[in-house]
Amino acid sequence: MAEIGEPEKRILVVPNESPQEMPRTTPAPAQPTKVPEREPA
Amino acid sequence: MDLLAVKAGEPIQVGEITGYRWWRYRFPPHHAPTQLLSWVPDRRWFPNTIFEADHSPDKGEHGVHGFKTPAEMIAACINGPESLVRRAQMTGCDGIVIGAVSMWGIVWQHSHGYRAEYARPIIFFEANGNRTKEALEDLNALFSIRTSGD
Repeated sequence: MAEIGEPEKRILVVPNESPQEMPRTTPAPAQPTKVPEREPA
Repeated sequence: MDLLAVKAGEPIQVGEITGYRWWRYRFPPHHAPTQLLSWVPDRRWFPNTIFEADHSPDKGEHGVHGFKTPAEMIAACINGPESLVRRAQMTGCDGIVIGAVSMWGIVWQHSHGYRAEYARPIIFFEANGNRTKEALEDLNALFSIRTSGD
């Protein structure tokens, strides 16, 4: 491709489509562990 | 896209950047669909597929190139589109097609354009070379691009 000039700055561009493909920036919150109820003796 | 590539204090933009560029096109034998190729590397662009740069735009001059405006793109064609068509035809292509491209990921902004990590065509609006009308219609249809009147 032809000359696009001098580099000026670096940007991170996040697409506004296909949000289901967007990477997760934080891990999903952990689900509380369900403690099985003890069977009555 | 790797968000770990973000550096501290670096701008993050939501929504793709639009650039303007040209590609090569060729009519393969046996009435196969018209092919779209990058200008320099001999890589094909496929419909419904995100085009990923060979190397990160952080490395040298790599990345998918696009100009900021159509005027800047035209200004870069110092010898006019005819010279680009001749160069394209020397590589076995039928001509060049001009259009707009959506760009995202790691993007380096230059004074007249961008280099991006990912891209996909938005529209093809002019072809130069062999069977230009057919090339334009084929490529816009193949890449599911709606032109005026749709």
